[in-house]
Amino acid sequence: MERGKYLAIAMVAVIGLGGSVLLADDDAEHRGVSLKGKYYLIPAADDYEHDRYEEYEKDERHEKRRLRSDSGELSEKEKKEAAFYRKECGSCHMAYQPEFLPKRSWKKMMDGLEHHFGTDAEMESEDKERIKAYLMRNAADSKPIAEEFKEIADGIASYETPLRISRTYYFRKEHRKIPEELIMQKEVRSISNCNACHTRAEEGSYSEREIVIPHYGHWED
Amino acid sequence: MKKIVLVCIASVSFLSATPLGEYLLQLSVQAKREDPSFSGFDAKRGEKIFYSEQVGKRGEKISCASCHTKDLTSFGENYFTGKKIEPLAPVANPKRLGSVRNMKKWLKRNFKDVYNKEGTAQQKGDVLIFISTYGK
Repeated sequence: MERGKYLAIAMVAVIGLGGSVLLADDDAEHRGVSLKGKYYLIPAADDYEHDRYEEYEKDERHEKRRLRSDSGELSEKEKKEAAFYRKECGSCHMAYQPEFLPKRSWKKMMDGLEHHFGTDAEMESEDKERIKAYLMRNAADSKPIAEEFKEIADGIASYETPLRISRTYYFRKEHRKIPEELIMQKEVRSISNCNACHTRAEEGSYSEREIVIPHYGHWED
Repeated sequence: MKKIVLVCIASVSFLSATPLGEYLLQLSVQAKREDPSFSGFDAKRGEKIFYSEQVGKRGEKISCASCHTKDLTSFGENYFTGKKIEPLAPVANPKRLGSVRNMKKWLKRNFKDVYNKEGTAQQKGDVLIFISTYGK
């Protein structure tokens, strides 16, 4: 259900009118730019007509609803798979949302479980295949993503196959100002313990106003 | 063969209807195969395996107690990630040792993390007996 939130914001405006796209605002910057975490695809300026624009808006809203209802109505089977993923991968660390990394990263991760960040995380091949398939279906490049997930994905070069979310460009940029001692304190311990500060991380929500750093409080960048 | 199985069942007879009993039975068959002089599992040996410090997979000196703590009835914490771990002893946490699949998975992983190799059937059985009788 929670996934619906960021999915809802992911907007895929597939519009079958002409090839060229431009940002709608007259003071537009450049094509397909991300505005406040939302992604706009708007027709070229010379195609622009007010009523048509409204249609696009409607399309967009429709798309939003569609995505929300898609994720809101996860099949029973997919819910079961998500729970299985959280149980298996969440026994040693937070079960990071699959949307954080592209398929190639998850594949590499799952093929190397025997040496998983210095720990043996091997599992029965049947279970491994199940989790791998779940990750493949939900990876950053498998479906529309938004907000932090999109920012992180956009910062990964096509030639990179990151295994640590914390090494990706956007992640580092967003965490660069946090003093070392706040990360090393025992309530946090590592930059990979998302939920130590992001109070709704387990639900896939990482918004700034939900950040509470132990012995520090709310964090504003 | 029959004799071996009988000996094994005798040694774990009080448990044989449970997942733990089932797994111990498997382990004892395997242990006998690995070492014909196998004579059952022992909680004392298991205890030693559990608390002995080794240079583990990550190059740090750890024991099973590094994560599960010295007191198996209390909550533990993953030594590397800090994630909370429920008590290991069934006396404090009845869900423990409730599935052969889970026992297999974790013993294999954790032996490799602490001892850098998968334990023998004898060692696994010893540890299981230690955990299952802890606090009783």
